[in-house]
Amino acid sequence: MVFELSFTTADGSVIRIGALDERARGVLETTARIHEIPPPEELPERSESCRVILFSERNGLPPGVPAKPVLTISGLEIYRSGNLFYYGLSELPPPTWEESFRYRLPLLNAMMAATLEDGKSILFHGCLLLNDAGEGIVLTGESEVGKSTTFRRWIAAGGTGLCDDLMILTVLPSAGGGCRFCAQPLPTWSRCLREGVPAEVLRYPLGKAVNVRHILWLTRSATDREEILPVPVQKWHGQLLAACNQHLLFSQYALSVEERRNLVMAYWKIVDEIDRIYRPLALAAHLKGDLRETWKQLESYGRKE
Amino acid sequence: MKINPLAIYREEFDKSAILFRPDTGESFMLNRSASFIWKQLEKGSGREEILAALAEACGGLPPTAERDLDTFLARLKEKGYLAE
Repeated sequence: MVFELSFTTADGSVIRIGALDERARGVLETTARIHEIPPPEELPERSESCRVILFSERNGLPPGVPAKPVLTISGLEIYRSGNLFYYGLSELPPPTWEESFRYRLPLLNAMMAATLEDGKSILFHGCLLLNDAGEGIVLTGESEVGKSTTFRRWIAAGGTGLCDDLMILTVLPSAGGGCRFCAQPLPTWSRCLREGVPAEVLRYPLGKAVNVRHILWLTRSATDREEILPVPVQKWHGQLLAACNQHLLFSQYALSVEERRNLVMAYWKIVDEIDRIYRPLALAAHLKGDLRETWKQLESYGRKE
Repeated sequence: MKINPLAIYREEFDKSAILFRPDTGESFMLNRSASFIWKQLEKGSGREEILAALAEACGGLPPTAERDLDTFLARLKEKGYLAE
């Protein structure tokens, strides 16, 4: 008997996380609430596509799982058996913000496994705003460049934002033979550390997938105005790769060298698809800018597709 | 000289290239000459072999070629793309 939490990416692929006991089930239930998805269901056996499984350390390792963890982080020991990842939950949860790891890392790991398997969806570091037509504008950039600030500015201007740190990006076919991207919001886990927000009160609508109208590199304006600027393609690619990789800097250590190389190959495929649709543009943000006017300027650049 | 197995090389449309390390999330941009050198490194070429390959490709080497190559190799080592 297992419990499985599942959600779908924008192309209908189902991502699953399993739990082998009641305690682990409780972690999945909290994970479900945080991501606003249905609670885990009880199944007679693990689904074939379930790659990440939680268990309580006090119950011992499941049979056949090598005794040495591949990774350890506060309150969690991560084991690997073939293409399955087992997350051992320590007897006592770690204090304060580190408890968020047990709600965050299994899902990131499940997405990493999905990226390796079919490469259609990736984790992406950035913020997701909605324009007035309800389409997504993704802003990606280095840490501390101003993603959260721009998110707050847009909210203050009466706009809608879904997340300001991490999302799932999925490429799917569009009418006419091209492709398009959809984004699904994921929690800003750093709020647990920076703001002392308990992980279990976070709420992010993972089930909400929006079409992505633009993907922009967020920088700070070097002038006294906010503007949209073209960026060199090579630098654009570097930034996109970093955005694909940012939230897997830890989890990828559970992979072999070959798998990590394959992961980067998967990032490149997504970057190539981004190139087909979106122009390499930066939002040079200024605190005194008017984001609605900036989006109008953005529309004048258009898209490739 | 040994290439870091986690360094992923990808050529761009203009023969420049990007090196990316997933363990750090850092990219290193290569111009066409640097891209050519990296491909020699991937074949296992040492310093002298790289210089010979450059000379053949370019029809001779400028006076600063050896120094420029050493600087580039040192940079790759510093950034963890290359080890002794």
